[in-house]
Amino acid sequence: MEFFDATFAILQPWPFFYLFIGTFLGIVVGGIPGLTGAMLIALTLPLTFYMEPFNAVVLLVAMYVGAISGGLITATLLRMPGTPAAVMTTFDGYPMARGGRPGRALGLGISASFVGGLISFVALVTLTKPLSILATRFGPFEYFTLIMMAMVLIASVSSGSMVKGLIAGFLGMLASMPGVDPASGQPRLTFDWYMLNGGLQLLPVLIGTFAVSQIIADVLQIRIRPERVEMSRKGIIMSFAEYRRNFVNMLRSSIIGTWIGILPGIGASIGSIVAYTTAKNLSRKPEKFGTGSEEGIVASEAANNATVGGALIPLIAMGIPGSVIDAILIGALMIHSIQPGPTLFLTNADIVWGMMAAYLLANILMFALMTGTVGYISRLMYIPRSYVLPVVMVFCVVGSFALNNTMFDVWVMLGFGVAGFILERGKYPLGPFVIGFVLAPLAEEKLRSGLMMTAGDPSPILTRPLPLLFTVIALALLIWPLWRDYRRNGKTKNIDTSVE
Amino acid sequence: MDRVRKFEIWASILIIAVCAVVIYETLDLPPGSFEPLGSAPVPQATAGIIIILSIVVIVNAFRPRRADISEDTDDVPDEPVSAFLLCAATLLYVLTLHFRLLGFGTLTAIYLFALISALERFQLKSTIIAAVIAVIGGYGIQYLFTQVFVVDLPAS
Repeated sequence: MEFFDATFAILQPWPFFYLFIGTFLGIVVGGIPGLTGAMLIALTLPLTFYMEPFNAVVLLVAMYVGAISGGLITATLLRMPGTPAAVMTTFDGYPMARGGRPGRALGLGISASFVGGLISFVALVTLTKPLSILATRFGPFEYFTLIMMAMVLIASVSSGSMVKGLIAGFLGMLASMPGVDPASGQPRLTFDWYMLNGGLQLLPVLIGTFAVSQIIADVLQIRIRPERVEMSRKGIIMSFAEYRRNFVNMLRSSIIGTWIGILPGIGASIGSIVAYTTAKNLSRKPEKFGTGSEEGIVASEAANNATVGGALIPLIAMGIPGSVIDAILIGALMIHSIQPGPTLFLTNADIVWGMMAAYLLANILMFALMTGTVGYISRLMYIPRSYVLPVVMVFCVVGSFALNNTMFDVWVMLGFGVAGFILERGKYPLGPFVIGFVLAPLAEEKLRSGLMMTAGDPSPILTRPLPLLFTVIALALLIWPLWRDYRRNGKTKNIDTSVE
Repeated sequence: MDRVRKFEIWASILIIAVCAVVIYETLDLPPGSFEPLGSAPVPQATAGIIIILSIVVIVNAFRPRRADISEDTDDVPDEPVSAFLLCAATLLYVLTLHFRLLGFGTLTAIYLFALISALERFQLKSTIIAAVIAVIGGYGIQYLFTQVFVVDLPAS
C-alpha cells in the first residue's frame, strides 16, 4: 500500500517534474562522453539542499537511472561508452550501427535496459525489507566486519591491481578522519587549523574526486573527434517476437546484474562484463559476439541497468553503498538528516518507498524518452568538449561553495580534483576511495562502540558467527588473488623449464 | 624503467609521506578516557596499512612483469598545454573569487570566454560561440543560483 502511495505522490506535478528532469538530464549526461552520472549527481546535490527530501530523492534516483541508460547512445553510435557501464555495449552496438542498423542497435539496448530495470525493481521491492529486518539484528562488530568485507570486496574487483584498490579505499578512509573526533571531542588531524575542525565535507570531496579529476583527464584528450554513425530510427521498437527471442538472455543478464549490484561497491561495469561473458559462453553463436550480436547488446544493457536496482538494496537495508553513485546517494540522504540503514523503514518509510517508486517510474520514463527522442539526444554528443567542460567547472565551484558559503570548500574540491587525477593516472581506482570516505566514520563508530561494550575486548569478531563469517570472506578475498598469481607464476616457471 | 612504473614509485612515495605526517600528527593525541581505543589508533592503523601496501607497490614496480600483462598505452597523445591552461585559468578564477576582486557574473563570463577561446585555439567561429556561452553561462548561472535557488554565490 505504501508503495502505491509513494507512486501516487510522485505523479503529482512537482515530483513528476523532478522525475522527468532527472531522467532526461541523466540520459543526456550519460550520452556525452566525459560526463558521468556520478559527476551529474554530485553537482546536483547542492541544489537539493532547498528541496523536500522526497523530491530530492526522486530527482537523484531518476538521474541515476537515466545516466546508466544514456551511456548506450554513444557506445552504439560513437564506440565511446558514455558511462563506463556501457563499455560492453560498444563491442556489438557499434558494429551493428556501422552495419547500417543503428536504430535496431539502440532499440535492443533501450528495451534490454528497460527489462533489466523492471526485473531488478522486483528484487528491490521484495528483498529490501527482509534484509533490513535482518540488519536490525546486527551489533557493532557485525557492522564493522561487514564494512571491512565490503571494502576488501570493492578493492578486489576494482580495475587493475587489488593492492592499489586497497590503498585507494584506505586513503578514502584516512581523508574522512580530520576533524573533531565525535567520541572524545578531541580535534584530530586538524593541524591547528580551525577550518578543519568540522572535517572534510563529503560534497567537495565528491565533486573534486569525480568531476574535477574527470575534467582534467578529458581536457588532456580534448582533440578527440569521434567517428560518427548516421542515426536512423528504423527498428528502434522491438516486436513481441523479438522480446520472446531474447527473453532468456534478458532474464539471465538482469538477474546477474541485480545480484552484482547487491554486492557492495561493485557497480554496473562489472555486472555488464559478467553478463556479457555469460551470454557469450552460453550462446549458440558465440562467434557473432563482437561483430554486432543482438545477444551481446541485450546482455550488456539488461545487466548494467539491473545493477542500479540491485545496488539500492544494500543502500536502503544496511546503509552500505552498492556502487559509487550509491555512496553519493548516501551523502545526499545524510545532507537531509536521513540516516540510511536498517531503521530507515521505520524512521523515513516515505523516502524508502519513494526511492523504489521513483526507480520504477524513472525506468518507464527512460524507455519512453529514449525511444522517442534518441535521435535528438544523439546530436548533443557532437558538442565539442571545449564548450562543455569549462561550464561544468563553474558548476563544480558553485556547487562546492553552496554547501557552507565558504571558499574553503572550493579549495578542498580543487585539491581532491588534483589528487583524484593523480590517483587515476597511477591506476588507483577512485571508486574505493569515495566508498572508503563514506563508510569510514561508520566503521570507526561501530568498532569503538563495540569495544566500549566489551571493555576493549575484540574477541567477538572471532567468536560471533556473522563477524567471523564476514572476516573469513574478507580474508579469502584478500588471499585468493595472491594465491592465484602464485599458482600462475608457478605454472609459467614450469613451462619455461620444460621448454629449456 | 617505463613511465608507468616511475609514476607508481613517485605516487607511492608521496602517499607514504602523507601517511607519515598523519602518524606523526596523531602521536600526541591522548588515550581514550571513557572508551578503550581513543582517537589515535584508527588513523594510525589506517596510515600504517597504507604505508605497507605502498611499499608492496614500490617493490612490485622493480620486479619484472609477466609478458602477458601489457602496460596500458593510450593511442591518442595527451595535450598537456590544454590541461595546463585549464588548471591555470581555474586557479586564477578561484583566487579572484576568494579575494572578491570582481563580481561573480562578470568574472565567470571572463573565465568562460578566455578558457573556451584558448582551448579552441582562438579560432574566429569558436570565439564568437565562446562569447555567447560566456555571457549566458556567467550571468545565467548567477541569475539561476541567486534568484531561483536563492543560494549565495562567491563575490556576488
